[in-house]
Amino acid sequence: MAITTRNDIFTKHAQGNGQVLPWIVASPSSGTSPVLANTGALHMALHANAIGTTYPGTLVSFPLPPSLPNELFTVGMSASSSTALGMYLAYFYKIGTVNLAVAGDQFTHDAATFPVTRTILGQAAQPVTLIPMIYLTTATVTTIPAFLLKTGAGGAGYVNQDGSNVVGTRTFTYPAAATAVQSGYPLRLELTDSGVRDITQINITTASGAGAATIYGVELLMPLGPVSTEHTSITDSVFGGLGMQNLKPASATTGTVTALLGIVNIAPSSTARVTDFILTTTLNSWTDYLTQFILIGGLTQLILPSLQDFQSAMFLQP
Amino acid sequence: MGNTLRSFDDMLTSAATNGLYNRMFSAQTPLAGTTAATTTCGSTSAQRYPVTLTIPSVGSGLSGVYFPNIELLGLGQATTLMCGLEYTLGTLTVSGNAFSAGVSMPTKTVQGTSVTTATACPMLYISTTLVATTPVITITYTNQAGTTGKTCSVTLPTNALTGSAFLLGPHLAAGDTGIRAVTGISTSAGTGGVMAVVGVLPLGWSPASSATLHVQTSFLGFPAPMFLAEPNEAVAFYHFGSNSASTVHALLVGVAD
Repeated sequence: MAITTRNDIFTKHAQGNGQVLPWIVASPSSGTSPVLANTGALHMALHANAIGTTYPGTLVSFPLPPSLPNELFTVGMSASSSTALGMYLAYFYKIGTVNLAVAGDQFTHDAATFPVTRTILGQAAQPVTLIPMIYLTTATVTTIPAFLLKTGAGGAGYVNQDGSNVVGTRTFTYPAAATAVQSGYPLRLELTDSGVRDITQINITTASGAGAATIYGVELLMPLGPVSTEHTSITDSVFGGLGMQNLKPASATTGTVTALLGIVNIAPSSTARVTDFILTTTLNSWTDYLTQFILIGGLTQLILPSLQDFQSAMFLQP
Repeated sequence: MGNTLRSFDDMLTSAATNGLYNRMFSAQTPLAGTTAATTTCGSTSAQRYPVTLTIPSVGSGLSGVYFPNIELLGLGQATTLMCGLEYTLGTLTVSGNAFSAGVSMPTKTVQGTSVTTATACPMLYISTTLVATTPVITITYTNQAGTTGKTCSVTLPTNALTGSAFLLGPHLAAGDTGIRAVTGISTSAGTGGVMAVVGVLPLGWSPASSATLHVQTSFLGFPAPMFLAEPNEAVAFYHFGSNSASTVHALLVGVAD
């Protein structure tokens, strides 16, 4: 039966409907800190699973039970970290790739069609607002690359949180001619925008001697609390403020999106922070369709205001 | 007395009337270390300490022990530790590809409800170093819903060392999250060693970001079920994230129910 009480969570977990997930993180090994006037104030570090990951190109998602039939909710988490700011469990949805070494329209969208969607507030297939992130996979050299979220002909470069096609006017400039791989930054959106549903084109206005990047849309799931070494945080997603996150990824409009479950560390510098953690999860089951939509919609409604506030703060750039 | 967890007063009464169970525990993995996981066998390295703690007998009218307070310390290492009730669901002796049936996951009372448990943390534990080159281990099991004949497979590293543990959760059949029982284990290769599929019902855990940090766990106020540990059941200890030699020190405080 569906989750309707706290007791349901306990009994479902005891029945094996859910898993205990100990996840160990691969610490990023490089990154170039942001420069306010060029990239904005924040660096976004991508942390993937320790086993199997070789940065920057081979990224392994935190392991989940296969082919989840329903929502897998986080109900509790214990985490430890080196001194950390802005660590979030997150889904990284791969939107496409960009060639930074050639001028002009250089974005290649993945086959999967965006937006990615979830059931929100009782409505199925609602677009999820994502934080756009550019993650460097081939280092730049010689010349600092710069680009706009638009086409060379003046057409739109992204779809914003409201579903509108937007022609970007704010140039993103990398922090250095030799920007290191694994460097990640939020893309510069127009001042009225707080996120994206899709990226459609990136126009390289100044090409580097080399360089390539992956464009991700990042969906923040839950914060991973501790802020200093030798502290452990405990998160109760049931009683400690309702926040049961669904670990089942959002779905592409068409096709299959490449979704990486990992950690994003959003901070003013590129210094690597590492968090290991252990999650308790419970699998939902659907017997009462209406009840489940209300439950899931309620959870998302609690999440959205904080996410929008965060995104608005992020994109207040000079 | 039943249902010590019904209220703090009930728990305090049991502690005062029956006496608390305070148990120190230490264990060390083999000095040679263990074998790291790969993406085909768990994706998170794990070790199982070779010594377990056996729940003692309890007084007349009592059923077992709840642990409202567990402290775990990984000496000299930043680590994630876990302890839990462990059940050997099945064993494979590689020589002869010989399977021996174990027990099924037990029935436990959780929040006043009798529950047929299934482990949410199934593992493949190497109890004797394997002599096997990248063996594919196939496990036939009954899933969390009671459906029999489900299968999954993992590919182990060559000659996995004693004490290595490999998470089975990511490799279960599509839609499965737990195991109630194991009805078969087989290997595609190998001439020696012993392994077992174990089911764990967690009692406590601690992630630690530094080698000098110890963590106190209580599931009293945490949304995880507290399981009654019954006499003669085994509590096993696990370490995640490393395959180097390691030690665990623990203090478990139990109250009778």
